[in-house]
Amino acid sequence: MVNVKVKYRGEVKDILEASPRYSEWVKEFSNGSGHLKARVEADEGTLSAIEVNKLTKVKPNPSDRKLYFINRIGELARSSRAFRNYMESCTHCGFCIDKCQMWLATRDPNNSPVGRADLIRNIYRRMRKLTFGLVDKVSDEKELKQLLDSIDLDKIWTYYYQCTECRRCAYFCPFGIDQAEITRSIRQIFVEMGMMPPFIAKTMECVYKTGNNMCITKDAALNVIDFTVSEISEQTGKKMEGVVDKDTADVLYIPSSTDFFTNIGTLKGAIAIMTELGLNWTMDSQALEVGNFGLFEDEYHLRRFGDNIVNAALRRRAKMVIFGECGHGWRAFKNYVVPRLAEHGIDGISITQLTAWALRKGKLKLSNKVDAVVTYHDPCNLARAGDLIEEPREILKSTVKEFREREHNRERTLCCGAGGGLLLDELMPLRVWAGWPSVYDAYRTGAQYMVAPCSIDKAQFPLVIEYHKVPLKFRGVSDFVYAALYGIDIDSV
Amino acid sequence: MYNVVTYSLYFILPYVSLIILVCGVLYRITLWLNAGKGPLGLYLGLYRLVIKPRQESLLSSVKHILARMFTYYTILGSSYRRDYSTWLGVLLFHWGIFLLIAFHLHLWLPQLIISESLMFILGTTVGALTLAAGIFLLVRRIRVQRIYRVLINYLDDYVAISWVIVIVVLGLALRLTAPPSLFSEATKWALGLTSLKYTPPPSNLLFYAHVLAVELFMVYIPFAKMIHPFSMPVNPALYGRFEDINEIERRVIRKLGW
Ligand code: SF4
Ligand code: SF4
Repeated sequence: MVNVKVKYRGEVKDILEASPRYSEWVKEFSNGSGHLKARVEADEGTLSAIEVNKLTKVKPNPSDRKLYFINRIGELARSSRAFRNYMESCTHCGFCIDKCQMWLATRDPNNSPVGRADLIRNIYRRMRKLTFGLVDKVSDEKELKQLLDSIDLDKIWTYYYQCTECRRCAYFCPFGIDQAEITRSIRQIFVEMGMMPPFIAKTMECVYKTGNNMCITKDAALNVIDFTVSEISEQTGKKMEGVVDKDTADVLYIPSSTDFFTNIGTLKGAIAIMTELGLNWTMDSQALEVGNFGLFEDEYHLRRFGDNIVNAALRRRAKMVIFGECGHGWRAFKNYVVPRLAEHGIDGISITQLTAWALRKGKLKLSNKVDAVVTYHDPCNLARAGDLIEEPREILKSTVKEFREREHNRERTLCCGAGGGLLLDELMPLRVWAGWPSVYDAYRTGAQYMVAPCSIDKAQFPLVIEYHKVPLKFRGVSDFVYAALYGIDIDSV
Repeated sequence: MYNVVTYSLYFILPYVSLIILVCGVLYRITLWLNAGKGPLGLYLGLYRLVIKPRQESLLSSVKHILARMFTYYTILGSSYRRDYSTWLGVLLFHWGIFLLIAFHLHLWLPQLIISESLMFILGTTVGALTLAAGIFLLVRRIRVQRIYRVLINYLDDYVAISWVIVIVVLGLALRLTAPPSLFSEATKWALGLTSLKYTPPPSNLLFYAHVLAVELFMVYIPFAKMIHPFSMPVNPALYGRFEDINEIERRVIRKLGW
């Protein structure tokens, strides 16, 4: 049973009770969510392929790991202003608790921003003894032993792999305490202990091999593109070219690798937009990936995957990099890749920016509006970390008949429940409920389509929608641009 | 003996507490500032952390953080419901404290003539509101733990708010019971402190207790959790790389030759 009711104004039921699967929720989460653990990659081959063995600084036995863990926490307090600030400035007001969709989904206090942070803050404070930060000193031997005994790394791992790094807590906390940054710091330490979930490790291995998350080789990519452009010409009668590895081009387009499998509509949209705008563009077969799983894990991989895009841009002598539809990748792109590109005088923008600006300038001529009622889900990393809020709305408003704003919009958006690297099969019971608040929010608008320019959303929401039996369909933004450009039925895009 | 006690508690201790407060807080701010952004000057690989969209300059970031600190608007930000009562409690408590501190500056400005009855009304009203809000917040703190079934408060959290409540209770009681002559005596004592000349404080038990509580609180602040106003200059959102989207749009459109 839910302990604290969270409901919309005018509704009597808790949002969880509003789902037809509520009885399953009761079975799964009556005792919290501590039983849902991300697995740990054990395959040495994978770990060494992605250089985790080089990053590992400690032997894999529990006592060494614990000691390393607390030493690193002390080190972070000295070297990271954000970490130190967040450890010390929380007043435990609790405002953040019911803002976290992980708490909304599980009602487990450890799975709330402040609860999660306190798992670390308890250690941090004991290390600073009575002075709580005035004197920066690790405890004496006896206390150190007690401290080490009290640490439950397994519990920390569990709950730090139940945070989607959505930063909703940071927006609502009066001090802006950003639990996602604490989560990133702690996962950084786990990586240094050689620990990473298999799904993320395997995905990274693909990036090492092929430059994208889905292990798409150049040949496979060309096949998909051939298929896509032939479908485009069937649907529109227009001959387009999906350009890969052109020697030099003004514009380098970085797609999401999942667009080559499940979100072909988005790929069609991107190709059509670029072609209609008459850009001299190309993709790079070594950089068919907007996503950056390094953001979820550690700064080494974040920079490595980010640099991959910078190198591709330099290889193609591009003046501009256009970033495909992706949420978390946009955060890494905007906050790491764009400044790096700027060093070479290259601009980096998103396809939604390009489209919205082109529409404003009258550069894209739409044939007619798609006959659909849509609502927009703001991907967390676009809204709260990436300033991309109005552009997708502008696009949707000019491409569909009716656009409905949902209640939790813009920076107050609810997370999809699978961001932050939680797109793990083993966390499925958690995912379907963590995505529910957002789906329910969209459903209440009465829209037919829920739309977001984010690949994780595209992988996550259809499952959530299906699980809760909601009459909604999920699509990307460029899909609608494509449909509106050529007057095509959105469901056949 | 009595003189020695009043001399040390109401002449020596004020300086000691002030020095501990100022130096302690400065020391802690230095520690926070010394902690850099992180490896390579990045926040774990990122050039900036934002907590609200469209912060395009340092100024907009500062404004936004100050707005959070002084209007508490994020508490009102709707997520399923707006928590008006907590917001009002937080607002009254903090602004009550700001006002009460401002009222006390009057001790050093005897030239400023304000009628005793006005001082009485303002002091008691603001004091009472602050007290009510403080108690509301303390109760809320205990309730939040109970309803969420979570142990989030540290002793420190309770001590900080309870101590402020004690200070306000003593001050309010003093205000309600003080004879009219007390204000001028207190002014002499206060001015004596700033001119480094010992003037005995008004001999009033509530006055002694109120001032002592304040002095001890000043000593406590640097040792407590990061007391919030001082965290403002080290807020990570201020140390980033700012960019203006409109500027980027203009540049890109120029490049595209539109
Ligand atoms: S809202 Fe901020 S200060 Fe309050 S408990 Fe949560 S993290 Fe701490
Ligand atoms: S970042 Fe998101 S998932 Fe993580 S604690 Fe904050 S609100 Fe919850």
